[in-house]
Amino acid sequence: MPIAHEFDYVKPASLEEAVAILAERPGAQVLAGGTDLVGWLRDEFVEPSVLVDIKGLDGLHGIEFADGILSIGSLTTFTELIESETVRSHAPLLYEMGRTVASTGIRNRATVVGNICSAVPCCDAGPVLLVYDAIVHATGIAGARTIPIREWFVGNKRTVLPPDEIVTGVTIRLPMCGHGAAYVKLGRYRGEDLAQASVAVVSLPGNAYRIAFGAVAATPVRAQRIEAVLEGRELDQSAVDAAKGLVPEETSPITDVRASQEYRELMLPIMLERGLRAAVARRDGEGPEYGTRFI
Amino acid sequence: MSDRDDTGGPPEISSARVGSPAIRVDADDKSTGRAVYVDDLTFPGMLHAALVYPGCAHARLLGVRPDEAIRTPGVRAVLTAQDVPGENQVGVLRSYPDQPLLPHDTVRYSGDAVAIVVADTGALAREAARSVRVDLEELPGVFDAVEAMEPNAPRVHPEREDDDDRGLVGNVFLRERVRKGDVDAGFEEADIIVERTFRTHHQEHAYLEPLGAIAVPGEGSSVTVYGTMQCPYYVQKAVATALGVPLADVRVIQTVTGGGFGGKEDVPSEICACAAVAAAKVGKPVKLVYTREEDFERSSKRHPMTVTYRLGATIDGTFTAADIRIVADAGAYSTLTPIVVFRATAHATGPYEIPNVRTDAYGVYTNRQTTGAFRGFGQPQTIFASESVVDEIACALGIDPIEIRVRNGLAVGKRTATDHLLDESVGLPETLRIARERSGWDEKREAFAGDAGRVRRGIGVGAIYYGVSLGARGLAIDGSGAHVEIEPDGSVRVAIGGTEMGQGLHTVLAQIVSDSLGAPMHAIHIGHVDTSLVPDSGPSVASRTTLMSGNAVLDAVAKLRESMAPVAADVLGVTAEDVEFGPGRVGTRERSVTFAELAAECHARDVATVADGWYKAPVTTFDEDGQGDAYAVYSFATQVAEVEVDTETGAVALVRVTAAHDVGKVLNPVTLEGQVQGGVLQGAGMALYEIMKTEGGRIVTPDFATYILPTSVDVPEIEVAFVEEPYSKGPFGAKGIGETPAMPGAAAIANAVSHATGIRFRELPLTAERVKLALG
Repeated sequence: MPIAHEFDYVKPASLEEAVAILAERPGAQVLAGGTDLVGWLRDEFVEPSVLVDIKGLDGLHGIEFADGILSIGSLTTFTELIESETVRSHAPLLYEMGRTVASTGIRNRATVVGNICSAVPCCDAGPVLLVYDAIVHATGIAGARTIPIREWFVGNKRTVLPPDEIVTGVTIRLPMCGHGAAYVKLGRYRGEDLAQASVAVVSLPGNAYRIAFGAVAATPVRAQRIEAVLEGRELDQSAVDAAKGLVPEETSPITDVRASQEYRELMLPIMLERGLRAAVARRDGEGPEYGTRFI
Repeated sequence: MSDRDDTGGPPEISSARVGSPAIRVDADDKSTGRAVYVDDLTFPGMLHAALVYPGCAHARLLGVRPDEAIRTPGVRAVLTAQDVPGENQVGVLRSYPDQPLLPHDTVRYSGDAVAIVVADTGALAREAARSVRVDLEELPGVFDAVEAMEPNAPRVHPEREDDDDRGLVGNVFLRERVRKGDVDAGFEEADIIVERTFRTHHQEHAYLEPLGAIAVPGEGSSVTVYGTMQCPYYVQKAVATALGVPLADVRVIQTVTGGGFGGKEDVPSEICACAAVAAAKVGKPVKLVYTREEDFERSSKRHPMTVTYRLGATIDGTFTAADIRIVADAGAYSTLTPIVVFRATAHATGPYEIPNVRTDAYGVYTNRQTTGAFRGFGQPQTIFASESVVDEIACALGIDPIEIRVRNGLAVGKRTATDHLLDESVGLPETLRIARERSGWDEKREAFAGDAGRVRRGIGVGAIYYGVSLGARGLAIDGSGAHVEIEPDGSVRVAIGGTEMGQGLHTVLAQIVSDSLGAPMHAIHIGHVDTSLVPDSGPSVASRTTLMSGNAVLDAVAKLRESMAPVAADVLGVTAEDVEFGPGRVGTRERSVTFAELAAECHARDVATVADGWYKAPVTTFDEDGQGDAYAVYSFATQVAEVEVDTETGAVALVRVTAAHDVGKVLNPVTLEGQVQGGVLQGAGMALYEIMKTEGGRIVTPDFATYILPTSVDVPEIEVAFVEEPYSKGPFGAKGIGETPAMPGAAAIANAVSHATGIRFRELPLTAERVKLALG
């Protein structure tokens, strides 16, 4: 079905112009990859007055790593993410996650930042940026500011970003010592599925853990109680069992068109265990190579 | 292109021959985007239509108020039931007149559109359609066929009178049966009896191109209808009925069709009749194309069936009796259900000789989408049941599952459940042998059984037979026509009544013409069906099209050879009896002309270079006890599936499928292999992924984000093998292949999962969720 709703389309020449339009035009909406937005327009989930196409803007592209900080420009696509040597060598969890997003055609267009701006509960980038404590960089007419990813998601398809600001990128301070990580995504088939549930795990030297879940609450969530119970512990069976036992306290899956609550509840501990074991093995230089599917 | 030979040059004929891997004649057009689908077409002054949906699945229709929509600028008309100028009936079977084109007093499923809006653009029409007020009094609905058989179930067609004598009561509108031998005595002889109940689900065709039509009014009351379809002659009748005009006033032209799989058998009649009624009203061309979501709502599905299967066998594995009960969910209208249920009933035992058979089948109305033709036509559901029970008996008796199928399987000289004595072209034993050998069955069956870890492997088999063409209860014409014309330059125009829908028909027919007439492949031009060129040739369904159109073309070619041979003989100074047509040239081994030279000579001498062909299928029988030669000939297949089941997550990975198919004769090995690969994937979708979820009868999975189809990354390793047991009445010995590839897969996969897990699943699909919940 074609998009029935009429809207203006502008392609600003600079970030300043873009944020000015957002400030002046109520109902303006930013267009980057458009893989969520165009579907939402078609379904009349959003009815913007004007689309501000930022695809041509300078300075929003690219992946850089300097001084322990990985920067991902807001126009970086998932294909660029998973093809980046920088990402593969410094933050392979992003690579592992990016490979599970949709299909090649969508990944060629969809942006990592767009994924967290759409903020659907099953977004793949959400749990991974959460376990990396990413910082979101936003710019409005009042200037630039940063938002910790933990404060970013506020509800189903809702973020703290006001409508007159544009995200320019995200940065991640990577652990200085070697870490291991894993992204476990529950799909219904090997094809381009949305996550029915997902778990991102980072394992740090000294047996520290960072864990986040996707698609099991209104937003992606950090699992602080599980992190706390594992803190400083070797990942032996009792630690795994303790972690799994806390899953019901950290998640609140529902039944929807893709899967039942019961199935999600059964799967989450299994996914967590697979994620934890893989992350620890990888930290220790073992385990399956990044990009392996766990389910 | 390298596979095509040049007229007049040395005979480079290999690609043109029957049996060669000729490149598809439509490959260039489809790969470059030149192919013109119905939505690509436009006509001067063309308007656009959209449908008004009721928003619920069962309701009394009190009225349609289009006032606001009509006042919208750009809206030209809003049509309701009273605007149908002819008879307001669109069902394909005239003996079941239960489906109005536009409902006038009752809405029976959520896709039961109540009005047509015509506007200047598609967007306007859709927007206006949403502003049409539909006054409804909602009624309780029934969404499951077994529940619909309960005495107190809501009635989908309360206007129907019960027929107690025939057992047609309430929502049960159809019964079909088979009675062979003495079933009770057969079970007496049995050492083991297994009875189980199985359930299958709606399956979407998911063809690439949604349904669409354009109706163009012509002189007087005539109309030309363009559309994506399998059965132009069905559409011709439906449009003539809805408009109340003679058939001769309705010309239907099939546009390039992006897949059908049965979903474009009868359903295009609805959209084409809607477009035609709208075009007649406004006097201008009208286009109506469904969105994918609309296509889900308004197209037919594979019948969900509940099958109770009771099978008895002696200790050595010989089947003694089968007692089968089939309940088929027809949805809101009968559509093709009587034919589907006939086929399911006739074949319900699977491809085995069983002396005593009792089968009872019921067609039941519900407030769901209509169900109709889908590759396999009612059989994959019963096969899932029969092949599961056969496996269970084999395992209980300690007999290898393939071995028990070999022992009981049909062969020449054996009799089907309808007591049809098979006298030729029975390739089942060979497909079983090849599938066993190529899959490595014996070693794997043993090795996989030893798996004890988290991931367990399994291997399973499914065997089937399929009566080719319409059979005894088919209500459409079982003949097919062809028209072949040779131009003075040697190019050949072929018009046929069978449709190319992506399966490769035009390519194999071009091979048949090339091989039999001696014309080079590139000189043969086959058009899509135009009902004004070829008489009613029946539907392109039931694996009949290569057989029927192929034989019709051969009939026309035989006439052309008869008129052209004397000319060749005269030119070459040989006798007409010695003239051979092709490959590549016409004449004898020593003296020959090119086909183009002969064509020019025939035209110069005013010799007829045009002929019509016709082929009529043999007579078939099926009495009221379901006994007779139900189909003229059968295709056979065996598929072996290998799976890996993660017992912790329930995920089933389909690793490998070995597909052995008896097709009579391979006309083109590449297109044939493609058909099998596609069918294997559709079987995998039915077995593992596809679920149509609903709320109150409305589909809540109306797109490919929510309705899961296997994608290219889900494709297993597929090995295809062909068996050629020629059919004496088939073109070059060929039978049909369209249906069979999609038939054994679900049963084979379910049997493989059982082998891996030790658990019998009796409801499809085997999603990871379902398997996980069963494994605990």
